[in-house]
Amino acid sequence: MVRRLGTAVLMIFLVVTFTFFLLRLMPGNPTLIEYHLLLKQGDSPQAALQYVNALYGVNIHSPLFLQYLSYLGDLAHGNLGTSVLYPNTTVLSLVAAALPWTVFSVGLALTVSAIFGILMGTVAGFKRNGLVDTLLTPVATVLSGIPNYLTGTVFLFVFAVVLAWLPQSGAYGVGVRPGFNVPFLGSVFVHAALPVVSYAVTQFGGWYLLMKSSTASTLGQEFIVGARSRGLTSSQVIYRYVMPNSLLPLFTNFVLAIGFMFGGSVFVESIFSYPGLGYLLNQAVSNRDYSTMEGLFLIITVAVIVSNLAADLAYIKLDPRISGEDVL
Amino acid sequence: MARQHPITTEASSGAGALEITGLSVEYVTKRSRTRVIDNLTLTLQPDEMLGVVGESGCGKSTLAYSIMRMIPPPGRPVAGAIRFGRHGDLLSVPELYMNRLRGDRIAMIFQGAQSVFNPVRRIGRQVEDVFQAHGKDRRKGLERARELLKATQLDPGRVLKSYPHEMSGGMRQRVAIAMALLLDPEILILDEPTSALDVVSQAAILELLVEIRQRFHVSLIFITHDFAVVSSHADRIAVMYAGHIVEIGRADEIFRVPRHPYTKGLIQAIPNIRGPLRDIRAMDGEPPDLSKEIVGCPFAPRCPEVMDACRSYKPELLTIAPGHEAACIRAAMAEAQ
Ligand SMILES: Nc1ncnc2c1ncn2[C@@H]1O[C@H](COP(=O)(O)OP(=O)(O)O)[C@@H](O)[C@H]1O
Ligand SMILES: [Mg+2]
Repeated sequence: MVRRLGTAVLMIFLVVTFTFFLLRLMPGNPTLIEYHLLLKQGDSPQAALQYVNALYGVNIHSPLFLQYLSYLGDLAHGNLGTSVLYPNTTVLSLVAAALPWTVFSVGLALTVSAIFGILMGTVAGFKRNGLVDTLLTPVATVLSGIPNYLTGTVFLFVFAVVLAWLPQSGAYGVGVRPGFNVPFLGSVFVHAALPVVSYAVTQFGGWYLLMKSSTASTLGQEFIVGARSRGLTSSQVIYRYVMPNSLLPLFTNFVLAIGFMFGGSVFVESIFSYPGLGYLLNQAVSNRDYSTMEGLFLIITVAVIVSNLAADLAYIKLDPRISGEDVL
Repeated sequence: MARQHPITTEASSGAGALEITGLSVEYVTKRSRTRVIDNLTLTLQPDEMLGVVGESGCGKSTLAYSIMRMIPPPGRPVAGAIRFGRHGDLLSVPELYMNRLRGDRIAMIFQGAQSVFNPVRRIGRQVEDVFQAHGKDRRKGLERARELLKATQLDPGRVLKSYPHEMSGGMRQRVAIAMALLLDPEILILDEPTSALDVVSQAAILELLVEIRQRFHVSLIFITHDFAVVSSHADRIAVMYAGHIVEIGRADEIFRVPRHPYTKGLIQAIPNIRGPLRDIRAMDGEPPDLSKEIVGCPFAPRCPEVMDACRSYKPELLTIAPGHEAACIRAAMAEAQ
């Protein structure tokens, strides 16, 4: 376990370092652009430097390595720096504002698609060539192959543009007052509907197919024949013998998906201008807001690594055949 | 070996525990139709141990599955009846009724059954499930399980708390047998219960069966491809070949004076470690392809005593001595003289 944690910390450190240098070494550093702009406008080099340094909280002429050290120092204090795009805003506050929207929309989509996929997949796995299997398997196969920016674009066009049933962008209407009130919550759900469905529809296919094959393979195992030979009732067989086993592999996937959720979806959130982490990342990238990019990459990395750890730990807890030593 | 129960060897006397008549089972696919059991008739006596012997592929497991009415698809019974006392024909009772009989009146231990338990559920819970399914008190069930596990030389406290993977193959098999006896079944089918085990565990299981027979009133169907295993334990032996019973009779008699050439071959194939090295030979050839129609005696192509008539005439089981039947033209002719 300790070794596992050490590896996780090392991974995070490597990602942080890699992103830092990669972004600095890319052409088009915005602080330098700003600096040269000020020079052109007639500022003295000193004044321009001071202004830029103060604005971005950096020291653009100090060696890269020193910048890196001071960045790490800030990180250690939980300071992700100041946004380049919004010079008076900390990255942390940008992330804090975007995070709830992503967690809400992607989390909802994940939950809904997993529940439906698992239910339908179980039915299809039990009744091969039954109604559910015949109808849903081709649909799910197609859906699982579609990227969510495609469903997003189609839904945007059909439901927001042509039919105009649902809003095209934003997380809630302009007129409503954020808070715990019905108009706001209603507006939130109406705005989240299309992004959520765009994710959910594509993810459903995966959950369904996975659960169907997991159910079918569990049903084919000897212990199911054993259970039936003892005269167990079909509900006992389904809920106590088949499902605990068929759900096991999906549980890991679910925990991992929670980790990947923090990346939001750059495509879907951008299509719907939905102000989550993915949208923020898109903006940061197109504006070379590298402090925000660094912050986002850090969060995504940590989330993925933590969810990996959590998935392994959960597996040890859930599957008695796996002992701690096997995994950690 | 001590036998406590009176044994009847005449298949015809009195009501059997189980009466199989004219049973045929086929595996039907789009392209083929395999008759795995063909017009099989067999009576299991109360409290007897019937050994069913034959090479693999002869339909022994399918016979067992038929009695449980758990033939794996695409197999299904196409003719016959399996009468089980007051319960009637097992092939035609409603599924819910059949399911109540499973594990309660008829229990089965599966071939190579190393994983008949839910891997993520403790044995104790799986014991409780059986009692719950059959509408019995779970607490009393655990008591009963403790007794049975003790009888199988296992530590009940430990076993009930264990997950299946925490036990060895031999232990699991003993637990499986204890589980099968939970509700005092009238019939226990054991499909090659020892074939996946090492020699020591095999011996332990056989010893356990001897003890079970002394303590419980249960008819045993013991399926094996190893003649040596049943010859010393079973009361009667049924020899199966290509979906038929080709010889049936008292174990000692079959062993001493086998009448069917296939039975003779099986007995000769028993490796004799102790006595002088006899003529040990496995039989040449293989059982016939059951998806093709068989004309004449199915054993004819491999039979060392084959005659012309064997290739065109299909012999039926004939009584050649009291309680001893064989399906062989030669045996029948010898009897007629
Ligand atoms: N699903 C199936 N489809 C077609 N034939 C099968 C199927 N399962 C078993 N069989 C055939 O049934 C015959 C008897 O099998 P089985 O009852 O398992 O024999 P045994 O237990 O004596 O080895 C074999 O010849 C086998 O090929
Ligand atoms: Mg078999």
